[in-house]
Amino acid sequence: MSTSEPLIGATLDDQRVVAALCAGDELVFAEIVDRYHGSLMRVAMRYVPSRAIAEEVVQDTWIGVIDGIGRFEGRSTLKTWLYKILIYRARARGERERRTTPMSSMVDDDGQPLVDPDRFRPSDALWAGHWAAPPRRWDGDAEDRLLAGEAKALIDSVIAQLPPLQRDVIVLRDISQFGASEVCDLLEITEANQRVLLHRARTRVRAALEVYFDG
Amino acid sequence: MIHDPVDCEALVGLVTDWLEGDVDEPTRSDLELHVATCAGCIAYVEQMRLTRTALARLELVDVISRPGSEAEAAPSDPDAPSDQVRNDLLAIFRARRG
Repeated sequence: MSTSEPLIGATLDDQRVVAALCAGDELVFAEIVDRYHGSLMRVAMRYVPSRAIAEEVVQDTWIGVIDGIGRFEGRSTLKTWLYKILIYRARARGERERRTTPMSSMVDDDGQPLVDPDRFRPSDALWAGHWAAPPRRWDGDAEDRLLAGEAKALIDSVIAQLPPLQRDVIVLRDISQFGASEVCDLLEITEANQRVLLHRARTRVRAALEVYFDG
Repeated sequence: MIHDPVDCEALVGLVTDWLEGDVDEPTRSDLELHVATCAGCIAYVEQMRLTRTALARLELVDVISRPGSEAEAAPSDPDAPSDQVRNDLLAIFRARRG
């Protein structure tokens, strides 16, 4: 499984791999296919409706790598570059639109509050802004229940329904474990946007889990 | 009434930046002070942590919970390329780069 690298810019290993690919070294190509194919598939499947289409998107990505490796300039890591190609192609297949919106950590992309304002005391009340309906602590076994298939399926469905950029950010940051600056580079968004998108996405996932645990 | 620089509603807006270590020093101590006396926010922050943990394990669970995988054996990746896909890609590589 891949780990996130804090450094931006090609690593020594990346330079070795790129040189080998340019020289037509098939073993090195097989090595990076084996290393990344599964992770690329899991990201692709969040963009397109079927595994078969995800397979096509990932194969297209590898062909993009084969054809484009000579133009890899090493400004990002090889891994970031790879995911950039994947996301570009997956988006094209998913025919999704990108929107830019003003960023607030209290409301969602459509201006709806992220957390129901009725859960807080109104501004004219004593203890304004404090919980009127505080969240209840989840059971001690919450961590185990979160790993069960049911909770996992719930999280998958919440992620599938997120606005596109929120989904991109939470999948790359929290599931694929990219660092914040890598995600900004990949998605071509600012640090501030990245933070707010991550916040909105996580807030929605937590809210769905709260209904699941309390319900 | 005591002025509380961070109320629960504000904490809910700041919690991700806080968990990511992206808040400035006065805000961080305001948040800590608030959480120290607010059971609702303790639960909320804990739930955001658990949410992050659950997300981080999504991929891992896919691989580990695969039926038939031995505990000692390296978990097989259900999304690894099939032999067919792998051979096709290597053929394309040979044709274009070899």
